[in-house]
Amino acid sequence: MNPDRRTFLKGAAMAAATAAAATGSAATPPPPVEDIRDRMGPGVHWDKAPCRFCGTGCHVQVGTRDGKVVAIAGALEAEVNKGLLCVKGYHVGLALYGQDRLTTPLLRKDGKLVPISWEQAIGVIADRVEMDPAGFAFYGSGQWTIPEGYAAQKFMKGGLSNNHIDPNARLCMASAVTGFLAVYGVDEPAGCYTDLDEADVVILWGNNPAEMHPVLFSRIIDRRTRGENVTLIDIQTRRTRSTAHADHYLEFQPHGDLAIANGILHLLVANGTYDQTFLDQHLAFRKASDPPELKGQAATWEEFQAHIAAYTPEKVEELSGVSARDIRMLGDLFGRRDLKITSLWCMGMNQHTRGTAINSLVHAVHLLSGHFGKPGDAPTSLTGQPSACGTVREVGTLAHALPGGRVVANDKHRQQSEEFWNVPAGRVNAKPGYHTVKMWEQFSKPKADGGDIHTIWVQVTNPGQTLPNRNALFDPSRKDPDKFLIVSDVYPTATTVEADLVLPSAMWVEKNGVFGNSERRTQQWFRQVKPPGQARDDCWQTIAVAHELFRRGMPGMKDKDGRFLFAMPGDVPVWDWNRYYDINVDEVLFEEYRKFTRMKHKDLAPYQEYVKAYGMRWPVVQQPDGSWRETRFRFSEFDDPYVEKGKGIQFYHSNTEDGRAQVWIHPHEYPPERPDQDYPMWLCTGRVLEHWHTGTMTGRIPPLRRAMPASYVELNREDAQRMGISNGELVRVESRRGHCDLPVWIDGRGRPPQGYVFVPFFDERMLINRVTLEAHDPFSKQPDYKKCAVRVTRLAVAGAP
Amino acid sequence: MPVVGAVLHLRPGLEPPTELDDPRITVGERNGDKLPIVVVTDHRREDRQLLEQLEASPHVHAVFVAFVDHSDLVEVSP
Ligand code: SF4
Repeated sequence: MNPDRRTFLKGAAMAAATAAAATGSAATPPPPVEDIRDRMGPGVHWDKAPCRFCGTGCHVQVGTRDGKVVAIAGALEAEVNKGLLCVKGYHVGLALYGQDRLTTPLLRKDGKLVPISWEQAIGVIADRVEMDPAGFAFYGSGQWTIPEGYAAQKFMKGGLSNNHIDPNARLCMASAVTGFLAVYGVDEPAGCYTDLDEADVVILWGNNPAEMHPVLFSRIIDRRTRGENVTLIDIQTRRTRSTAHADHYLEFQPHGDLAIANGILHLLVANGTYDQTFLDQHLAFRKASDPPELKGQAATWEEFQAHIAAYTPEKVEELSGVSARDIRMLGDLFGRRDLKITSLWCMGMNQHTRGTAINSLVHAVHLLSGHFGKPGDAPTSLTGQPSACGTVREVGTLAHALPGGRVVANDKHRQQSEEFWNVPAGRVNAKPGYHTVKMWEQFSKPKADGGDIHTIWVQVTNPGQTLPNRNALFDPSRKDPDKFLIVSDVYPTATTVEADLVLPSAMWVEKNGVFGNSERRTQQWFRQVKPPGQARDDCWQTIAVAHELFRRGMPGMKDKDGRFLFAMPGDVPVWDWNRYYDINVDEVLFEEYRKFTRMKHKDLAPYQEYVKAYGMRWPVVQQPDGSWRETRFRFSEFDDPYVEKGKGIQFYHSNTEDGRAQVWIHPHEYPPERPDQDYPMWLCTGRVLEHWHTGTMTGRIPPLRRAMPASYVELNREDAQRMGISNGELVRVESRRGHCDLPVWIDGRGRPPQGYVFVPFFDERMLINRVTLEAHDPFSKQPDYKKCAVRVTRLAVAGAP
Repeated sequence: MPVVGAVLHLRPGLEPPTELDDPRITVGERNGDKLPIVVVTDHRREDRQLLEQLEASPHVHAVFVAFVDHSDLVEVSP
């Protein structure tokens, strides 16, 4: 590098770091600083984008030169991250440049994937749809952009009258959705990240934000470095990096969280420290119905009291393993009105066979104690993926849902969707499609045995690595000639290597996009570089298949007026890749989708408003002066425009239609599979800081791969000594479903208690999902990756991780 | 040649770590417990190692990144 350029870059780097160091809390605007974009000189073009990776939704500035991403800077103007990025965000630009990008469509012939043209690939998919439209399924993603998910949703439900579309987000946050719906009648958190700047106490319920949401976690740590008093309580099944920062570490037995939440409720009532006014004005009680339904049936205050009477601190200690003293500490904290308390959770509470119940109970703790609806007082679920909220929960790319909080089972909702899509009445099928586990079960099952899914099209996800119990849910279809797997992706993965048709996709800033992060923030970006080879946008792929079916005369691909389902203004033929960017397809689809968002007070602003902003949190409502205003705190009169004047707090989608939220009665239950004589240990799976989910992108970034090169199993030191296992030794982790061989890491990054092991799932060479259990929550249908019974046995000595 | 701008979150009341005495690191103006730095290394492997070393220091709470130039890498990629 020439010395002038290095000096130039050093100046830019120092300017960016100095500016980021000068930012205070999220409420403080960034100080005036020299713009690093000027520092980099005229050869580099800068534009914004949200980070490609986690649900925190940090904004970056992307520097491009000669068609390549050459620099990344944290966006100082972005309220989420104020110029800071974690190690994954640092490398996000390099995710585009792995050596083995998929660049041409590939079709399996005689067992081998061979290149074919896009025209052939689109024709093959259209053939599969035409063969039996009802047996075609779409498996999508919380990493789909909003327009991509919307296009797939419209293609399936508004075109094929087929509801077999479900996303990988079913595996990561479906229980949060059912929890919000059961309690408030509408999905997604009431609060936002600002709560972290205001809370006196932050409680982590089974999540590890120091690794999974690092920039968000830094907001808490940053307050401490500024001398603010923030108490951090870490309620976990194993010690993690977050534990290192915690004031209290409460280790619980798997499913003990149900007992802990009930124990806090017990103490609020027993001590008389619940918020009587909040209860009188805003709450109702609910219990399970028979048959079980998400909305349950009405219960009384007396029934609620009778239920929680059993959850004394001593009883909770017995059920959860957390001491009665610590349960009292939690009860006392929630009983105090002078503190502001924020609860955070993620996969630990969602990947849980009682996920809806534990979500509802944590909401209940906040509601009954009145720790709700004020900045810093909030129960907040975090998402793992960058658009699990935007694309899955809001666009409704789930088997039972329609955009904007609508559901297929509701006559009125179907009618509204048909009107918005201008398709004939009756086009949208009333019967929910298959949720993820069911979809893959039906795909794995032979046709003769009732396996009625013959084709699955996978976009932006890697089910060959992430489905639970892979031996049962993924492998069988790969030997069945009737089954056909289509995968759109950017790199070879554990799924593409088994696919029948592989489509090369554009990624991140190689395409236009819109994401929706964990705090209801919608974030837009433009294409900044071109994808390699013949890689093309996933949204284009869907539209091209739809158009091929339209060309062949499939009635479902026409609207009521006989026009193509994805007809564009000016009739731009966007199914022709050469014309796809003649118009902003994202903007057209977004504006169409926006109509849905007003149906359940999730209003989005026009697309062009997001072009100007670093995201806005919905509902976004137009002001008398024409400007658009976001909402930080839902259901609170001081901020939410939909709360009636004088109400203070109003749950305007209440399941009881009286403005009240529901406090649920849910008992503690043991998990469906527990350690026994044959399989004496608990297995928990999860993620690590360096790798994004299955590592298909981060694994191709050399510094990240070096930092975390391979998977491992965390084993407790005493267990290891008892079994005669030493650090780095190769062991077999085995359940009733399958096994996985891994090196042992003792006293590593995470520290499990005795009788408990942890394995990350990022490494496709060590597929831990051959071991996990597909048992799922009855309402959310989300599988439990956090607990099943395994045994650990020695194999041979290997290198230490 | 990687150039990285980063922010060290120092533990309250503690001085910056001695690991900063490294010719590859330029230290900026401290702002409370946050310290901007620039790391310039010959190879990308080094910058990551340096940042990890800093993060492991008992004087440092966390290290975040504010800027990274990787034109050196993408210009040799296909
Ligand atoms: S915290 Fe998440 S969104 Fe932010 S830089 Fe890291 S991976 Fe990206």
